[in-house]
Amino acid sequence: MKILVIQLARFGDVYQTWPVLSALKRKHPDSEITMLVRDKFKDATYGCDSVDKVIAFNSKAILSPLFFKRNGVVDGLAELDIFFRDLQETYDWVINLSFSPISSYIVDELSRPGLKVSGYSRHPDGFLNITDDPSAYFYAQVGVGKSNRIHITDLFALVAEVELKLSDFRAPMLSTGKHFVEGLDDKSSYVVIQMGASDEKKSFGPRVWEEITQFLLNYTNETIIFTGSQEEKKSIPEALRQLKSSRLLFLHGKTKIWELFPILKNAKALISVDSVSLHISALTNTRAFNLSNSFVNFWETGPRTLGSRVLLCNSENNSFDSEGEIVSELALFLDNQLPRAEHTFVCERASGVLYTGKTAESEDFRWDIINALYLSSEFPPPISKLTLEAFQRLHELSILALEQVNQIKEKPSSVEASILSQVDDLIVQVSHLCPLVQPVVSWLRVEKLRIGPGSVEEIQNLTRLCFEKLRDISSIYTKINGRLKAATEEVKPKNLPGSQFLAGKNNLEAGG
Amino acid sequence: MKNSPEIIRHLKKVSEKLDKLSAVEAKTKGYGASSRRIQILSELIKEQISNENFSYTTG
Repeated sequence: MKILVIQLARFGDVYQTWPVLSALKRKHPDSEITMLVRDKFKDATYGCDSVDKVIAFNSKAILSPLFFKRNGVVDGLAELDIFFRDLQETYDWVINLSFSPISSYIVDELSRPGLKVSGYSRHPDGFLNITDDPSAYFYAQVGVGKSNRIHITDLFALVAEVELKLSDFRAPMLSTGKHFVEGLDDKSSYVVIQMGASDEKKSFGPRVWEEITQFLLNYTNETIIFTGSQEEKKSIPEALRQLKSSRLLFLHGKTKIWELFPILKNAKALISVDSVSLHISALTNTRAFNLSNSFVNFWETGPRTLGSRVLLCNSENNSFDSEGEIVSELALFLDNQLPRAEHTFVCERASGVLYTGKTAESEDFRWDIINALYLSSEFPPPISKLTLEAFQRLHELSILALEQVNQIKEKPSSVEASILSQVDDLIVQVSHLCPLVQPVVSWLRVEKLRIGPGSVEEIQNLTRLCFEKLRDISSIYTKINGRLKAATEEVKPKNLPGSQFLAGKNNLEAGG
Repeated sequence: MKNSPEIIRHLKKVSEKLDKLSAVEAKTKGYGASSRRIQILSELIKEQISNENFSYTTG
């Protein structure tokens, strides 16, 4: 079987795909796996023994004519033709792990009868086609500001229809690491720090790194290795540059990306923001201390090695209240003692929801709603009057929508179409006014989006089903008066479109 | 590395041109290989404008 895995995101996403590629190869040992990645990030496939062939999507070559030539569009299209000619091979299965418009068009280009497609594609009329439930979940519930708590690698695995084992999280056998670093011998013990990330918003100011470094110099005997790109070299805090200690080694721009494997493999720990080192640490089984903020959803892209910790900063100003809090939590992490800070999360599980820690009631409510939508667990009790009111409005809007859908005969009149369009807008407005119902609104939006081209009757039936489910869900809350549990049993949606696929997450095999 | 304001202006013009081309293509020939390629170019330009290499959750 020939499998094409499309991963057009960045370095970190490519590394977070590695365990899925390993599991795919394990499940289909005779398969030939080709990976399509951005040319800029193809180095992140180096050493991945599960991939047979790598194809690079060179967006620079495609875009260059548009920058420099008068008739650039024609030349850009010609470059795309060349790319597609190179990509033309008869694949049996295309797994799109990119969740982007570009990737969906590429999948569509490869479509032919008999091809199995997982992930985003396009309908014959050019509209987005979300072929599978995990990808629909991704569209609806994943991303910064949303409430998903399943790690992205596990979601990739669901799209690729594989179960991950701990043995899928492994580093390539490249070298012993310490030889990569001048000034280290085989007996050296060290921690690694990566201060920078793909987006500077994900990182923190110089004071944080100065405090951490000073603390490590005083509290431990470890050498401290700083990793990062040549570009990140500029952001090394001046105070750190001034520290004259033989225990500080700055490797910015001095290592190839794959050389991070042996360096991290032998490290005592990694201290990092959401960075490429953090994602590699999941493959080298290195414990990580991850500093995180609200520009990242750590549940999705946080560290995976058991015992790793995430220290979340104050979400109101995206900074830590004091550097003292960071170093005291870091000391507890290094000494394997229980965390004390309110916003420390510990990686305690190998699959499913990885982290334990104190979470806000509103966030728990939204996560419980997601569980109810996709796992058919019970809907949570409302946590405010506003929630009840929001569900009341959703209920009313679902009934209004159903009245319009049921009136449609051969094709929707302008009145019905206009009302349905306004219902859609109002439903979104409700979620803006009461973000606690956002998972439900996102779910509805995606399930409606999944209705592909078809006859008026088919579209009418599928639209009706979506609004009936919204009516059923919201009625749980409209019937709340003292009998929430009974109401849940009465109208609990048994066959929600897009539901149930997460069920297996509770039983993922973690052994290996 | 962020794109300069001049490059962003240029890219926005190219993007508008591609959007018009895409609309004409859809009207005259419908969705097919040609409009698919135009869409890819258009999305690549949009990525450059927003300095993103991917965009989760957008269709």
